[in-house]
Amino acid sequence: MHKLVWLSSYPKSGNTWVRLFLAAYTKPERPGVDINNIDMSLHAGNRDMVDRVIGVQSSDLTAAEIERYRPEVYRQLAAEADEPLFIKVHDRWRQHAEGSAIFPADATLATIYIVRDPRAVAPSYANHYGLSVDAAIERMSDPGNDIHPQTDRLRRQLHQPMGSWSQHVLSWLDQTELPVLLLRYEDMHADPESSFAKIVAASGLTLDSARLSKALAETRFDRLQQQESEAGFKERPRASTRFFRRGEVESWREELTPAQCERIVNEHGLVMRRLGYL
Amino acid sequence: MPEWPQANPGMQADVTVRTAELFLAGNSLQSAGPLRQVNSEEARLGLPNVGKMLVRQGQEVLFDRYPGADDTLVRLMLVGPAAALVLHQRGVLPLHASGIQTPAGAVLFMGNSGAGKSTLLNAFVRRGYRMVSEDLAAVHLDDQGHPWVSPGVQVTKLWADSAAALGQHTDSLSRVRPELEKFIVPVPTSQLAQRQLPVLAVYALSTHQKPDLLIEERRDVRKFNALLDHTWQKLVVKRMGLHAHHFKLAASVANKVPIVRVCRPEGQFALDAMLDALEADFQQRQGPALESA
Repeated sequence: MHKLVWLSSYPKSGNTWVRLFLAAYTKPERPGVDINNIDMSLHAGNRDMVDRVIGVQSSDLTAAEIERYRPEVYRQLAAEADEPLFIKVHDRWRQHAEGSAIFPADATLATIYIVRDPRAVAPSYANHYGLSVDAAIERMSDPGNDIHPQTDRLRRQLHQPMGSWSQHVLSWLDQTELPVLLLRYEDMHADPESSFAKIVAASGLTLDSARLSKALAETRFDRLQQQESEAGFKERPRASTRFFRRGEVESWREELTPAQCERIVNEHGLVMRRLGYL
Repeated sequence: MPEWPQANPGMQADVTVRTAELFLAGNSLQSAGPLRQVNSEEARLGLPNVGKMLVRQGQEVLFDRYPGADDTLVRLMLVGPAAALVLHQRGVLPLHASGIQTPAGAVLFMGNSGAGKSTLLNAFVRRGYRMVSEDLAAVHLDDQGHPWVSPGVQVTKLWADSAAALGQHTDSLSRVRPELEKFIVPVPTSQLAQRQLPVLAVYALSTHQKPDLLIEERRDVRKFNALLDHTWQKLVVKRMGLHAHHFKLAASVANKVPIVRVCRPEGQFALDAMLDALEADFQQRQGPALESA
């Protein structure tokens, strides 16, 4: 039953990189990674997947009902899985109204939490959602920051409460039901071999260093960028010009004004300090 | 069940739905998660706080309702997964599609939630076409192997934004659920298809990141994959051991009727232009010469 590997992060923190890597690592016989034609793990907020598992269309259900059913959807996926299932998550960790965790420990094999300096997340978040950097900083400070909260139209993704950047980090790191492998984007960047080896080990996969190097080479940022320039990327939102933007660790130093940096530090300093960003 | 037509007096029921106390399934289960348990004989599906049901032999649905269950949710389980499983067990293909009647046969619009099935259905009903189905289109083969679709539910549902795009006022309409701005839009009886119809074409709806509407008939194996992918309860069917039949049925449909891919620009619904383009496409298609099955 312990089959699910949660790949959790705030948006724009390296989740897609990890998913592309895992796709390359778990299918080494594939000639290369095509970003638009690859089975890149599941998405916890994917409406179509949830519909297929519960049988009833989630578009006829209330938000509270969907919350109530989500843990059962994941348990069902785990019960039917033959091998580990990687599931991308942008939700914050939480329990539904009846008190059970949305992400059930009894179905979980591993939880990988990817975190990135919020000063680097902000410009990327702004680009992704077509916002000014100030508006992105505002959203990242908002406890009500959600993906798709609207109730007047159908969205392809379910409502996913995220909260502020700090809330999100703390929700995953301080819950006590799931042991978490914490990875910093900056460390993955500085030493990909050892960071991704930890992901491989946590997911119960056999570690093969040649395969690991090959998968890392195939998912190098400049290669992903090049593919997006040539063919686009299906996960790029309309508001954004490109998904794979810069992928750098220090570029926020030239992208943010001192006042913007100060706002982020004022808002998230406590958590940033805990993660070694200050 | 306001969603389904009333049977004429004296007609024999094909499927019986009754309440029953359901116990845990036995061994030999192919899947034993909390939401569904399946073996080659039967499928059991449940939803927390609503109930559980057992579907078997294509003719029986047993429903064990939990105290305090919402009527709407019980109906959704019957109209959705129970109906789909009964159809599979009877050798009928339940496609995730809405459908309209045209002079040359039925045209189906297939796709995931949010693809535009209900919007297109309602828009074509406004252009005078009769409604065949919403969400679930039951397709079977006749003796010559040609696909036919049976009339399905008799109501349509629209989200507020789609209703606005269609000029449909929602003040007097019932909501699907009190919390949702999704409305039940009645279709006049005169605009409901009354009989089985040969399938003229299946349009598979999706979006893409390009600026133009694309309408292109699939000529390779992807037409078959599209039908498999948009089949209700396909995961259960696999575990019931019915997938060989499901494959065969989907292959027969794919070989007999055109499967047309329709991609609209993501985030845009230039409705009138899309209706015109689809209408022009299906009007130039010739249905087979068939007698009513």
